[in-house]
Amino acid sequence: MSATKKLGRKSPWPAIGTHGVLAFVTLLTMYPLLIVLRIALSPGDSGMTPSLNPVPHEFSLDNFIAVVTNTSAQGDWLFGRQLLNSVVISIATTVLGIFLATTAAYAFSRFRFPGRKAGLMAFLVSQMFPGVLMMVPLYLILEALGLLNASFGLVVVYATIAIPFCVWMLKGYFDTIPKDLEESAIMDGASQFTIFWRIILPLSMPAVAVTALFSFMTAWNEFVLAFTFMEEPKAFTLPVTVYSYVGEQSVEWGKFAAASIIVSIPIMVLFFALQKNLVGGLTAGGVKG
Amino acid sequence: MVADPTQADTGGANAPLYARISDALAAVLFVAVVAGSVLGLTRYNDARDYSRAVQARVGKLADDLAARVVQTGPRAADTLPDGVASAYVVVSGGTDDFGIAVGSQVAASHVSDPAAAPPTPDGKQIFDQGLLNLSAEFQDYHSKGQPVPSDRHFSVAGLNANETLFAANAQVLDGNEFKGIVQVTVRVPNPTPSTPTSQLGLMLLLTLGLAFGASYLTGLHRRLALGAAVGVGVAFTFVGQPFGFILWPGLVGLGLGAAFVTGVASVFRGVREQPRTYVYVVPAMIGMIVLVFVPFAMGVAIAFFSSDGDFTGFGNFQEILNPSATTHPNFYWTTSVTILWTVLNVLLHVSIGVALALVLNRPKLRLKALYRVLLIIPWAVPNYITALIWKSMFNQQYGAVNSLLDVIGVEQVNWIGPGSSFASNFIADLTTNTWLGFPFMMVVTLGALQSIPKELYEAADIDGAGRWQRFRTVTLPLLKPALIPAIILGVVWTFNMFNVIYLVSGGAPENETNILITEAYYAFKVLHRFGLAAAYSILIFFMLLIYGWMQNRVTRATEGAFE
Repeated sequence: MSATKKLGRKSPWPAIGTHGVLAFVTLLTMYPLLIVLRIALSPGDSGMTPSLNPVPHEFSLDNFIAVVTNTSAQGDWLFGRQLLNSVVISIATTVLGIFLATTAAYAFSRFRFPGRKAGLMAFLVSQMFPGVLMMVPLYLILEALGLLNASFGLVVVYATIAIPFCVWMLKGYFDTIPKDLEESAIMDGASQFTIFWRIILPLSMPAVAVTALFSFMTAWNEFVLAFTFMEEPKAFTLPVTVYSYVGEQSVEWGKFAAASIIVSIPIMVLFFALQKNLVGGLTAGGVKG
Repeated sequence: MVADPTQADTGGANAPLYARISDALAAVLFVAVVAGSVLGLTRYNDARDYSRAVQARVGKLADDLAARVVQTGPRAADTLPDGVASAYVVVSGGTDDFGIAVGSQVAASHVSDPAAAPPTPDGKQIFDQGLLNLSAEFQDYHSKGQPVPSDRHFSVAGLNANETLFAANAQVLDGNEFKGIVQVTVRVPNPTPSTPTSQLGLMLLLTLGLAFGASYLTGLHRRLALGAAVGVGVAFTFVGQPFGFILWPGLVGLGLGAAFVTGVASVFRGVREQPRTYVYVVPAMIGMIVLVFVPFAMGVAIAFFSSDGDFTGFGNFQEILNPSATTHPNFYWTTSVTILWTVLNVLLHVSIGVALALVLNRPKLRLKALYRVLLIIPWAVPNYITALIWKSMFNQQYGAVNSLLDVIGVEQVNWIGPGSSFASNFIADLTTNTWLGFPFMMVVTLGALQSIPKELYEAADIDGAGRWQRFRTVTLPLLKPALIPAIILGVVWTFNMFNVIYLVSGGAPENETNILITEAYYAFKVLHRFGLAAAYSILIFFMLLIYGWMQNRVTRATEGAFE
């Protein structure tokens, strides 16, 4: 391809080659999802065929209807209940996560205080704690706090899981904001909190958006803890139900595929809405050198 | 928690009062944690041993009585050995046609200690009914051939602060026929704690005083003195115990104290000096301490216990690190698989991610936004769903992977089904995780590429650099600051990537494709050996810690973050 570079008029071949490679890789990436779409849109489990064709043989929304109308033996509308649980828990986690992470990251970025380095290190090291180790103690602690089987318990746990990554990312982003603005604000008599709330936060919206996305994803996608800490199906979040379709008792690929799509759509929408921020927020922040 | 060098020295003759109080409080905190956990463990173990001994003694009395009831009838309860507070015999009338126990009655009772008797006639009726219910329950276990659970066998009722009424129940069996039950109660003194509570109070006061005094020193002396204050405080807690039991916790306290007390003390002092700063950090810190660090510490403690709750020291670690010859896959196999898994994954994530980012970053590429959106999708799909999707793709009969092989004329492969090989399972896991992981690296690289100034490339062009040279001398060095932290994160995440291994191959064949984290989960969920699972987890943690530390030394990835 480099040979064509010297010519004044551009040859179309490099562009075609690039698009060829990209289209191939994209197809490869999308293919599993197209298969899931086929399985979901075929009646029952009939989409689970050896065919490579991603278009369903026979089109049907039965799987989606079965998943959405899932009710318990007592006649409760389980899907609605679990969707509500997931939405409430995820939004609450996002709000709590942003609150905890932005305030902590602001202090780590702008103040020098004893314990700062240790605190930052502790956040980093906590990423290395294996989840299996924490499960039994976490269960005991939630039990002692009376938060077992309560949505609030999950919210608090999810928010703390999301904190370390978010704090590091936000701190990196805050570091890139010039201090001149704050200095002139202090001249005008602004308080420390005003600076945080009126200057730092509005300027860091890309990074805050990524934090929000990350917190939301942590809560929305998690199923091991939700499965362990929640006993009644009415208290489950959606991922627990998705997993149960391919659980040990039965394998219902059709329903699983339909439920997966329903669960993935909100995350994908958020990703697409925030993807510009994702590129900027992540690199200026958490992974700054 | 080592103090920042800028505020290492805060003691001395002129230190303010609150600095001395900070020293004292920090030392007391360490004593409370070290001595508290050691004491908690010993008290817990003592109580268990004591209750087992009492169970054995009273259980034997109940068994003896049951044997005598078989020989001489319910009146055997009238003659009892010394020390028995009360004895009851329930005779069962057998079962009716529906298999339900009928006609039980309390055939004999003998109360030699009035404290063991129910206080009122009403109470007696309730008590008797309880005995009949218990008999029916025992009969049920007997007819199903199940052992009686230990909480039905023994029960306790507190009498006063110093004594407990301990009850043991036993089945009366004539041959294999259920005749009824006996209950024997004995009044037992509560165990006295090995360290009295007053001693604990004294030890905290002692530490407080010593650490306060230590704050008059400076530098290394202050450090050592604070360590000594903690060590003495801890050791004093165990006065009255064997010598080793005083020495070792004391030395641990001394070491911990010398290393960390000054750091914690400077935090306390900081809270006094700039309280507003800490307001910002405290909410997040409290959450992290309660829900991350405390569970971690508890998990570490669990690693030193067997599944029966006995303290085993390094027994669990020994079992992992020194496996028997028949253990397969053993720890060293699993560790090798984990490292192979991590290296291959991160290599693939980075090379695919960087390659795609370079292509997507071309200035005049059309449809750039569309490609980028579509390529990020794997990151947006919850990873347990990804894993299950790929599991279906690798299905031998229906999976798309085999269908594709069919098209290009390759024979079908049994990827993850029963009887599949290690290599095929591993490839299935690897493929899944590669699909899942490259978008993160791509996004990070894209972001870093955007911040590379165009002038650098122009300068390289003037110097006559080729494509490869431009990449090697301009792009790569400038990508490094962004990529290295991403790689560290990638390694940590992949090392502990539970969902993919657990859901795609499930460790097949015979746990060979398990990585350390799934092996730990196996010990936890299947073997129900929490101690072993915790020991595995600690080993994982240390491996990652050493990796992170080495990587950080070599690349100085986090250097800028602390400035």
